[in-house]
Amino acid sequence: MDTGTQKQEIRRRLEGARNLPTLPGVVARLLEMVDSPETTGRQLGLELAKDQVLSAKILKLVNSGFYGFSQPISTIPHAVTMLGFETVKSLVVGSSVLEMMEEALPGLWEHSLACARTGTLIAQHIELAQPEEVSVIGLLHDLGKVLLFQCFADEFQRVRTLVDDQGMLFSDAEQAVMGVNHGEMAGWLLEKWTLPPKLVDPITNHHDFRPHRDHAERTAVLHLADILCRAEGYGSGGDKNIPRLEPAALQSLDLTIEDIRHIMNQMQGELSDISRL
Amino acid sequence: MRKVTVEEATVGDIVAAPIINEQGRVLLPVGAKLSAAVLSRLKGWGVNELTIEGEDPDNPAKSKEDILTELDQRFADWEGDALMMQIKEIAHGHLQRI
Repeated sequence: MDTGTQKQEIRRRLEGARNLPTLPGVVARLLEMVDSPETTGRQLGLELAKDQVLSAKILKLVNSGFYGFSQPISTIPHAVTMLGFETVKSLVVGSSVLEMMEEALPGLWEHSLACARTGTLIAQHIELAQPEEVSVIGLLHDLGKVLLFQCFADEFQRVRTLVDDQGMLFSDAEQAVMGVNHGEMAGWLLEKWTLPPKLVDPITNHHDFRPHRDHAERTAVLHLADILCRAEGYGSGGDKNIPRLEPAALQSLDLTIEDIRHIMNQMQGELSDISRL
Repeated sequence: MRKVTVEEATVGDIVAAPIINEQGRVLLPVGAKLSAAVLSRLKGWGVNELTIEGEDPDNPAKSKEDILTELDQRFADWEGDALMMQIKEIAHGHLQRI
């Protein structure tokens, strides 16, 4: 089977999979609400409170030590006040896939959270508009690995074997086994969830940066964040090595090694509560 | 800190992450010491797992040597890449201070 046909076959199987994760209805509504400047923390809290399980998961996440508040946060409106809309938004989406991530690969959740925060640091450094959206991208960028684990058990095992026995990068092993990597797989699902291209494209292309593509700047931010988190050893992406930093990505962000040093130094403080595996 | 099941937790263990019920209410804050009375009630509160202080005896913290060896392994493919080596050097500086 040639690569194109193989890829179509994987997409067909993914879209037909019965155990595909679903984006809870409340999440879709919340995503619309937070995009409106008129939405208040109280309205958001009320909407979220309709889904008790989700609210509980978010409060658990907020209180789990990731944000280092001395007093527990016990209500959603309080969380919105303390963390801001956009962070809560990313937590809404993230918490719906948190358990799946923990199940799929040990350390994947920590890696995703580290990428969310590092992406935000880079976005702030280059003064990118809406840095909080980069945090959502970071949190969800490896969702494709969860899909692989959930819907493609045989392929997942073959990928793991290549990674463990031959020291391959996870994405290279996926490419070898299926002709597609987890970025593209996540993109298919996120498109189905009707997330906007500005969030989906960077995730789809984070292992294949091309400067001329749409949303190249955000893709470059995610690509860099992923590599810096792996370099510093926050969590685990499921393999033991690091993809090469694409020089064109760095050029497109107009960053030097001194900027990277500054960002990596900032990570030490901002990510101190995330375990290094 | 480490995650344990309620069965594995023992009297005197210190809570390292707040224990929160399904309604989002905090049942035990960070730093709480588990008493026999609390321990016996955890199951009834619907708690199956908790995070406590201390190292996991089956999975001890890595030594600095191990951490730096893993850093070398992570970058082994990029010895000839100046940019990747510079990033490694910065990470090395940070990991050495852990």
